This record gives sequence, C-alpha cells and structure tokens, in this order.
Amino acid sequence: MHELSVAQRILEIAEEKAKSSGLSRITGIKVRIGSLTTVVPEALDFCFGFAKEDTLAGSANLIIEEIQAEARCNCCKFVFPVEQSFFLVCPSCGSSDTTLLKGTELDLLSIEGET
Amino acid sequence: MKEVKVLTKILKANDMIAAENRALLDSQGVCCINIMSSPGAGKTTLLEKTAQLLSGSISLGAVEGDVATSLDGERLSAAGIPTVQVNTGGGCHLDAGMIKNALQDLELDKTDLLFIENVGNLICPSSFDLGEHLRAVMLSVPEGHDKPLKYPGMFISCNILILSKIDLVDKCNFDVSVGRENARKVNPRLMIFELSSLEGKGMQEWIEFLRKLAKEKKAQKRLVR
Repeated sequence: MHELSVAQRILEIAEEKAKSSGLSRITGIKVRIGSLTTVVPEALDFCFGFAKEDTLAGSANLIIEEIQAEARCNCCKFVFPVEQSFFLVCPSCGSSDTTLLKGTELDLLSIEGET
Repeated sequence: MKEVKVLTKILKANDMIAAENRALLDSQGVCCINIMSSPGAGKTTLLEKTAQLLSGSISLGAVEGDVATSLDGERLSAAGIPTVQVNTGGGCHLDAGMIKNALQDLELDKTDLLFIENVGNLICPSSFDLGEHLRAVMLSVPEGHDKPLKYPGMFISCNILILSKIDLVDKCNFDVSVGRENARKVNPRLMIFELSSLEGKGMQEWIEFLRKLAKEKKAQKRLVR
C-alpha cells in the first residue's frame, strides 16, 4: 500500500504548481488512475485526507478519474477491456500479440483554487 | 476560482531518477535485473546459488531491499556478492532514489550483472521504475498457481517469471501448466524459468540466460564507445 506516498507526491506537485500560478489556496485536485496501477482509489482518497493537512490543499477535494485498462489485438485490431476474463489475450481471435493502450495512467490533470 | 492545468505523471520524480540510474548502468555496461516476489519466495536463495554458479566468470552486485534488518544483505555478502542493504523502514517498495544512493556504494565498473532484490510484496513494487533493464517476478510453488490472476499488475509489469521451489510441486497443490497458462494470460510475453535453487533443477538454463545477458550488455557498451 503506497497510496500515502502517492498522495504526498500529488500534494507536492500541486503545491508547486499553485505557487507558480499565484494560487493561495487549492480547493480541488483532479487525478487520473489506471486500473493496472495497483493504486486503490478509495485508499488514495483516505490517505489524501490526512496528508493534505498543513498544506495549501488543506481543504481540497481529490477528484479521481478511473481508467479501465484497454488493449488492442495486433492481429485482428479488436480493442478490448483488460479484465480478469480477457487479460492480454484477444477475446475475438485468441491472439496474444496485443498492445496495452490504457490502464497504467497515474497522472495529475489539474488543480483548482483561489488567488 | 481558477483552474490550472498540470497534466504530469505523479511519479515523474521517480521516473526521472530511474532514467538517470539506467543511463549510469548503461555507461558502465552493467545489466540490471529487478527481482520482485512475495516474502519468502526464495529471491535471496536464488541469488546465493547464482553467485556460486557464476563464481569466477561473471561479477555480480546486489541492492537488497527490506523493511528491516540486514539479514539478507549479510547472506548475499557471505555468498561473495558485493551488496548494499537498503532498509525502507516500513516502506512497501524500493524507489529510484534509494537505488541512486545505493549505486554510489557499488563498484559498477567491476560489475557485470546487478540484481535489485525488492521488498517482498506483489503489489507496490510493480509501480516503481528503478532504472533496471529487466523486471523479474518470482512465484514459488507453495504460493499457488492462481497468483498471476490475483496480482495482474505485477505480472504485467515484468519480462521474466521465475517459478521457484519447483522441487515442491508434488507436495503442493500447484499445477505447473495452469500456473504458466495463468501467467501467459496476464502477460503473453513473459519469459518463464522453472527452477529449484536448493536442488539445482532448472538452474543451468537460468545461468546460461544470465551469461548471455552479461555478454550482450558488454557488447552494447563497446558499441556505444
């Protein structure tokens, strides 16, 4: 469970950006998390709740956009969600020559705040 | 109210240091493998045996990651591997910064293969690039053949799967063909080794693979020059 260190990194980047953009207080932080990152959104939100104390984001909400992993088959070009039942094997033609398209995102998208 | 776009990787600081680590290893012709598994899968024992079998031909180095104690680091040192022990003090994974510091304490110009033995954990270490060239996940037979399905993030992030303690296969409810199939479902590109560090089965193939890696890395370094 490294959600706490992820929450701390988010706050570091957000505070840095707030200062360089002239924000005195951060009210919201938007992040994007892929389903393959091993970061659990609920746990991240929980850690964020106490990591934010004494930062510019002390009263900020964390808005988490969850991204379902997706892959494309290099044989039949079928695009499919990567779930327990599909994994990286194409559910259409059975090929294992596939490319992961989405699911590993761990991005800070934007911050919102007051000047 | 003002919205400011950021759009950056949350772990960018880690990724940047990892890239520096990789560049440093490349410049010294060192091939680095990050080995991950749950606690007790047999990472340290495999490295001890590997050192024994490669002794005198290929120079090894190791960074040993544990929450606490230097027990494993001492074992690797005793096996003749120059080792830097890293204690995370509760942290569930190694990060690139820890490796950067550890690399300063190793004689990279005298190292062919560097192993990073990550903290025993099938979850968190999968998210952190350390600057390694290859990522290996070890799954020991007593853990069960369903683990690739239960921890897909780890198995997707790796290039190599080591099925360890294969000598126990008859005593455990582990079906090797199902284990391989589950792993390949999650990650069709996994290169799979089956071995027993203690009894020696499968070690020859592993050792040959490491020899080839070390040779290729040295050849690359000569090309770069």
